[in-house]
Amino acid sequence: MAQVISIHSFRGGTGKSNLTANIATAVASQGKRVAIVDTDIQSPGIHVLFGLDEEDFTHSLNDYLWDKCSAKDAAYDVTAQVITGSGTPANISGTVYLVPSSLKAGEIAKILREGYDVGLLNDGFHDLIDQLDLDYLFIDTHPGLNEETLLSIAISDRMVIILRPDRQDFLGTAVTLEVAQKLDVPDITLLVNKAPDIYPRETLIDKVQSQYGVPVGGLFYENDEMLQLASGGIFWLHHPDHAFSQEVHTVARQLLAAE
Amino acid sequence: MSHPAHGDPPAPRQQQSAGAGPKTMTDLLLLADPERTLVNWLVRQRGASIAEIAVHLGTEPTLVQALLDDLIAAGFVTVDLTSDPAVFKPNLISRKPRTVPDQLWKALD
Repeated sequence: MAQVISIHSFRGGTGKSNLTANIATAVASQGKRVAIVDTDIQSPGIHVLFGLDEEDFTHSLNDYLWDKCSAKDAAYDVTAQVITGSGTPANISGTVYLVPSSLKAGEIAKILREGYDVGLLNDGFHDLIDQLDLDYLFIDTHPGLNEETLLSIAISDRMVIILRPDRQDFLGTAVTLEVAQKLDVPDITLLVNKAPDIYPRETLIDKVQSQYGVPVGGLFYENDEMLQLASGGIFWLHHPDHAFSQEVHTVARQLLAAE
Repeated sequence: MSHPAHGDPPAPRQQQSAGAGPKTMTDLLLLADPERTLVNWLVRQRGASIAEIAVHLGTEPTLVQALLDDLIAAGFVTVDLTSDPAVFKPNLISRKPRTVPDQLWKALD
């Protein structure tokens, strides 16, 4: 049975989309069929990491929500677009699909203005799972708590919350956890991202775990290579031996182990 | 509100109360624990019959019907009578329409 995993952060700039793309691709590299849905309708962007731009897709999640296409029609197989640092295809053994959100200002405004049927979004997720024979559906959410995010949390088998070692992130994560518990999310994992290297790994993990009572699935240190890549690809394929990449695979293995 | 006798399969309501729903996910967070837990479960299931809900809750269908009646009246749940047995579904939208002036929206179209 497919796992629905929502990736969330209370604040923007945590590296949520970047980690989502990296982890989802790492899971796919283990032979799994994976889809990523960009439900960050207000500020979409994860498609950039897969080398797509607006002209590359004719349908988006917005079209599905307006009944202009099926959910499957808005899903693009981006496996071939996943490339290594040398520009060659990554030869991922599984499959990665991406359901992008529209980048057109008018279409973003229409969704904000009119809203949409939550049941339709939920049905679309399940249609994708069935029709694409998925093993994992990753939901890249909008930062903070809003209606779409609450739905994504509510239907998830697992929620991954990304935070930085920052007081505002810590406070926001507490709120997010409270909401997730109210929505009966079965499994919650924290990922600490953009940690300055002055913090010892075990100390930071212990601090976060003891503060929230939730396991930390991974700790990612800030690094220059990530800044240089600038969302220009999937990091672990560009820097396979980097500590960040090893941690991505550690998180992916945890998700696979929970199958 | 009357309910069928204990053990009888309760008849679902024919329609939801007018104007009560749909509700938002934020409204859902404000529900009391038992009601919220049931709607959370219905969201995950995308709908369920009264028998399935009774099995999930480990309670009698008559008690489930009372809970569902309240949720239908409040606008959180609808019932699909075209299915046999009837299916109770969450009645949620992503957000209520925004009240931003039309001129602003038109500028974005």
